[in-house]
Amino acid sequence: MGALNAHLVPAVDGVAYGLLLYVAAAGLTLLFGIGGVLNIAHGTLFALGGYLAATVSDGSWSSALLGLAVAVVGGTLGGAVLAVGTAPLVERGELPQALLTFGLALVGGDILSTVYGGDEHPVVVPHAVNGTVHFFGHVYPTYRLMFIVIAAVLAVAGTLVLGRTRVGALLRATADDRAMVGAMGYAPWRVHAALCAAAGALAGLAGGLGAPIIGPGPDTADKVLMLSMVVIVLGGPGSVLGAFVAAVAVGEIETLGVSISSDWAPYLLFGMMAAALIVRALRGGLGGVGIAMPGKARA
Amino acid sequence: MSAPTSPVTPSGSADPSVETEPVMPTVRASQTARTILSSPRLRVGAPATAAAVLLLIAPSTFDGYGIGLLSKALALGVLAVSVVVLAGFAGLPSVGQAAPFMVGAYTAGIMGQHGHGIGVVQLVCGAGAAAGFAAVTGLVVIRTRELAFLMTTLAVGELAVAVAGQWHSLTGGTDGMYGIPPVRPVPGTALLDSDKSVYWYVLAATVVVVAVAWRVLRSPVGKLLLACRDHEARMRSAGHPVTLYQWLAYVAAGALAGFGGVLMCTVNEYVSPADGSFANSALVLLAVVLGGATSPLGALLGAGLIVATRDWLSGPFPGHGPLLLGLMFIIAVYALPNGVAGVKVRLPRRPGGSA
Amino acid sequence: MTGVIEISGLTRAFGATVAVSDLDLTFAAGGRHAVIGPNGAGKTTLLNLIAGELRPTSGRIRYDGRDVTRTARAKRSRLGIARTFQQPTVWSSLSVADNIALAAWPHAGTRGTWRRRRYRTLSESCERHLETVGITDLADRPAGALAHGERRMLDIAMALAADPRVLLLDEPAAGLTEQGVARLLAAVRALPAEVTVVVVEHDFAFVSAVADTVTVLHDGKLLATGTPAEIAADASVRTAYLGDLGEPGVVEEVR
Repeated sequence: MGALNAHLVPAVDGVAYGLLLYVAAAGLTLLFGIGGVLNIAHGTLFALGGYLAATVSDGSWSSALLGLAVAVVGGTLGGAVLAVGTAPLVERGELPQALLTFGLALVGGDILSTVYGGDEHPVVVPHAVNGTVHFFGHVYPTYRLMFIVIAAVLAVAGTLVLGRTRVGALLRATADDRAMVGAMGYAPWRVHAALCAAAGALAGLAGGLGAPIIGPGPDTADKVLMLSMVVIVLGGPGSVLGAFVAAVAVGEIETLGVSISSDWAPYLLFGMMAAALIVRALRGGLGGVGIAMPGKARA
Repeated sequence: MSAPTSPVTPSGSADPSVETEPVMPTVRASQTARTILSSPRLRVGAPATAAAVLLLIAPSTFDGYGIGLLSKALALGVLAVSVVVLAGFAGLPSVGQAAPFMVGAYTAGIMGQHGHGIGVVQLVCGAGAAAGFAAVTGLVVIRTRELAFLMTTLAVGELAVAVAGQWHSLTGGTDGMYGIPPVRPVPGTALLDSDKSVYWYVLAATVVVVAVAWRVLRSPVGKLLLACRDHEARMRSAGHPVTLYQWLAYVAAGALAGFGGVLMCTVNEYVSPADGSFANSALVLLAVVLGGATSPLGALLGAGLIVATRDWLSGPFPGHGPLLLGLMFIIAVYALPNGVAGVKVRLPRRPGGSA
Repeated sequence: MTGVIEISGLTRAFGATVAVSDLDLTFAAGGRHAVIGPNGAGKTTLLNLIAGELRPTSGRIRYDGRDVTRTARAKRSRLGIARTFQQPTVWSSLSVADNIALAAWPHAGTRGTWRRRRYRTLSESCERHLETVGITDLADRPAGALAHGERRMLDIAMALAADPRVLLLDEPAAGLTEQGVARLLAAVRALPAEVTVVVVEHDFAFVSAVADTVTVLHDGKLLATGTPAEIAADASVRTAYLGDLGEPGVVEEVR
């Protein structure tokens, strides 16, 4: 019971971390599963959101909200750059687009490190939530708890949009058959641009909101990209529920796993991803994209 | 990308030197340039001869720094040839080839630190370890396609780098392994402790391994891979064990990459997780793009070009290496109109088609 | 050893669409069979199921008495089932001669074909297939540079090069000139008597010239089986198509 207690706080931390990854990975999945683009600049957009939020917020609620808004706008603009950059390459396939996003990631990362330097940039959280909360005899950082609530709301909202609205249906249809959606009268360029902007906005939002958890720094972009990809691979490309479970699992590994044994955590990540790939490959291939809603069978 | 379609040229005038794709009439100038560089037949044309001359006179004309740079370019060139095998011939555009490269480099580093300093032994062991790494990771990677394949190879590469950074006891962690002692090529020869001697060794090893790879790719084995790239489903219908071929190609490419990694370790006398970074994987992919997807020679030239350009530009713009590489990528992707120089992603299986 | 294909209860659904429904068919060994039917009748799906490109939703396929329902495509090919495609698919980067050699490779029975000399031997022995379909002078042309008709002939030659016991032809006459159709007919007639041929076609003249038995599919179900003459006279077949098939023997392309 003692051991359980000692690990309860990191475990809650893990949920927060996992939810952050879930929101972050959503942006990557959006472009990957629906837009057919492997956005290697994803981590860079996250970092951008974090840097912008850290620059603006200075401890007051208004600046925190402003910081978040700036992060989202920044991410959206980044997404717009992505849209413009990849638009001429859409017929040429995934590899040219992926390479382009890599070029943009390199350029963007260099700009960020030039402007902000090579140090970590801790973000100032509004004073009210900058403390701890006592809960059942344990001490939790307030911001993490608040974040869990916010992220959970976001996740549920996103799932509802995807599953219940016309926009969501359109997104899922595009994931299954891009050409068909074009034939239905939705200008492919507009859809592509909207997807890029949305993915950028999500990444920026995640970066800004999650800055107290994964702070902006020189390694943030790579780390977030890698963890997002692990979440997608573990959860199954396009599976909403799978991504959620995977995100929490990865979050726990990065927090609880590290607190239990900091040496083994990266191997655990590697091993889990390998295991997931093997299981999925044995069951029949990973080629599919598209969105699988929980509870609905895919054709 | 494009399915095999009826070509635009009339039947009688198909250019036999363009073996990778049907000719499109749109951008002839770059097409011609590409043709020169991308011919799989060893056209010992101007670029190849110039490169050969350069490589031979380099030790006497360049300073230590320049010779070292050339050696590094050769090591990366071998990695680029492994991408030619995978992406150009087998149609598997891996963006994680720097991972087996890093495995080879660490193998050489560990061997060196434990007193096993025979060059050829390090090369064999490094290539073998990398091949083993590729054999295991290939089992899952091979079963993915298109976008999932890109993501999986990227993820495998990134995780390998993370593991390398974590495994202090074996790899020295994120700081890397310093001070790896110089090697002697074969027992009884002199220690390679100067830039020049290392250069000749690296050059000789590169020439040998690329020549072997080139011969194999020009043999019926290369035809098998090209056919898998062109139309995998048709190969299966014809009775070929395509998955086996692809896995073998993946392992062979891993061995090649590991070979290059050993060379890099010998040149730098230092190994770190950065050797396996995505930047390296992407750099050699760009080299293959520039040099022509099915040309090992072109890949070597491409690697040299990128390394030289990056170095030359880092003079006036110090500390902005990533920016320059990124700009090179962006320019290259737009400037090469016929897809990424014939590096075709395999035909989409879904009727809707990929982007 | 015969080349008989037995199909029982074969069904293939794509979501809500049932392409092939509860088919029971036998293609007798050594026979020349044709499968016809209006567009959407399930003919190509049937070929894909026999060849192994698709797995059935339910039902069984037996080849020489052996259940191949779960056998992979490549394995079925090595067992002797060869096919051509509605859209002729070739390996564009390679020469025509290489295309044929690669198609013959898994069936050549020799080991070590990856060695240059053995490959060359194989390639030379495949030259006769080029002659059969009349594209010998294109041997060194990259396959991607061929015109449609030439590509169709190459596709057929590739199937022949596999020395199959069962040959599945998917609309082989489509897009061919008269001369091409004649050559195609000659090639099919020249096949050894033991080879089972199943042709999916719209061109009824071609069907009459080639086939001993004709199977008519409609909406994924078996409508009728018989000789070409019987089928041409069958009223239910006529109504299944939009309009008449015309008299037996009259050239009519039904599209």
